[in-house]
Amino acid sequence: MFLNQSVTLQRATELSTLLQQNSNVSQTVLIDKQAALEEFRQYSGFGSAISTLADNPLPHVIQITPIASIDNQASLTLLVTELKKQPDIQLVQMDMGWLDRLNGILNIAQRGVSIITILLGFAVLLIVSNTIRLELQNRRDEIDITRLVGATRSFIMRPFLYSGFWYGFLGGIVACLLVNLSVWLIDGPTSSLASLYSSSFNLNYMPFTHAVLWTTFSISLGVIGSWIVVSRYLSELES
Amino acid sequence: MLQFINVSKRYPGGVDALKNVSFELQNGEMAFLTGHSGAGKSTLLKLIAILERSTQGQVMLDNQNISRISKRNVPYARRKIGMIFQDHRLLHDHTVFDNVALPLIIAGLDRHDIKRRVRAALDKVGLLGKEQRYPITLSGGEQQRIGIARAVVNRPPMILADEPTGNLDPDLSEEIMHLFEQFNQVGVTVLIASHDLSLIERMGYRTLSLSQGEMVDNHG
Ligand SMILES: Nc1ncnc2c1ncn2[C@@H]1O[C@H](COP(=O)(O)OP(=O)(O)O)[C@@H](O)[C@H]1O
Ligand SMILES: [Mg+2]
Repeated sequence: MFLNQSVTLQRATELSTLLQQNSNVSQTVLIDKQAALEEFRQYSGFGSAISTLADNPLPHVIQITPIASIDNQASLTLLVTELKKQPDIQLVQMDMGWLDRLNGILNIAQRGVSIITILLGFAVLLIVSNTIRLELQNRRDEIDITRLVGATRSFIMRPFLYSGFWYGFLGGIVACLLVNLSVWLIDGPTSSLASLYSSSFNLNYMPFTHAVLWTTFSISLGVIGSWIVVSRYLSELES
Repeated sequence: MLQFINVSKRYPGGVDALKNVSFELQNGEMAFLTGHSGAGKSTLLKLIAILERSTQGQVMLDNQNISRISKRNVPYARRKIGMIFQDHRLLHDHTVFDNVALPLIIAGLDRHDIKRRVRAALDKVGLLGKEQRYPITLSGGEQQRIGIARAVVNRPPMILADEPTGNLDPDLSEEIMHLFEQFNQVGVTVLIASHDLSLIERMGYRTLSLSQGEMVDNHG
């Protein structure tokens, strides 16, 4: 934030302290124009040229770091508008690029977790239905023989529905664990990246209700899957 | 008890396995069904067990036309018949006890009754004491006895046997046949498909002969 040329160092210090009290501001650093000129003289190589200047052409600058929860464009713009209302201010310049980049990276991570969840869902579906089909194949003889001695359709199907239930249950639990494991793996790097930008971003672990829903869904798939596989086979056999 | 009225069976593909077959079996009767390989013996038995359906005619069991019974009722009709196969059709990863208990478990009997009846059936076929063995550890004749015990354990009014002695030597075959005789003597209707003509002759029961799907001989 560049202050007007006419602002005194005392006024600038006051302003800096005042801004410090703003609830959206985490830190302010006042860069004294005299000190800035000194620095410029030393590092720019224009030392002698600057010495010839009668007046210091630089303004006082207050560097403002917003609090961590301000991590999107909209709330940052709001803060800037608020700052601009102060007298004595010439220019408020904000550095938004890094924020966009940070948000971009964090969104990729969150999207990655969603993709992992979906892929795991498909994997569970495939594994459950294949396991049931395999089990049916292994127990064909048993089905044939129990039919011969007068087993009803429901008697034959019952054990398959039970195992469908358990496969679905196990599949659901394993998928939830894997999703959370991948959240845990990705969360480390992303939150340390975020903290470099003093943001406190964290990936969301799967909420308990989602895990319950997901497992219920997987159980239904298991039961319905075995029902379909077995009843198709039985209809083939039936005379 | 059992009556075939002009029964024909054509398999998909056009094979006429049975052609216009008619015969009757009285309650408590024992009979043999003979004929060359491919004559239609197995098909005839399968129609009684509703493993296949006739394409024409009626198969009457206990005055019920079982060739037109609904799918839902097939399992219950099947429980009235004890069926025995040449290849035993045993569950090899289950014990002798479990194999014989299967029809009773299906019928929903309680554990106590199941145990009592399985032991009784195994006693009849001479396998008491081998309940916990696995079928594969027993001889061919003994495996066939497991199959027979399973067929009679829920006391069906009728027993069907499809070449029950096909893989056995003559002495064992005769023993098995005498076992069927014993069941017949307590009132069970018995129909045995076999092509062991000399054994059938010695036994001296009624013989039904099939030839290329036709009933050519039906004498007592
Ligand atoms: N499932 C089937 N599909 C088509 N043809 C069959 C089938 N089962 C048996 N057949 C044919 O029906 C005829 C009678 O067979 P089957 O009843 O097994 O005779 P058997 O038991 O006397 O040897 C044979 O020609 C056999 O090839
Ligand atoms: Mg046959």
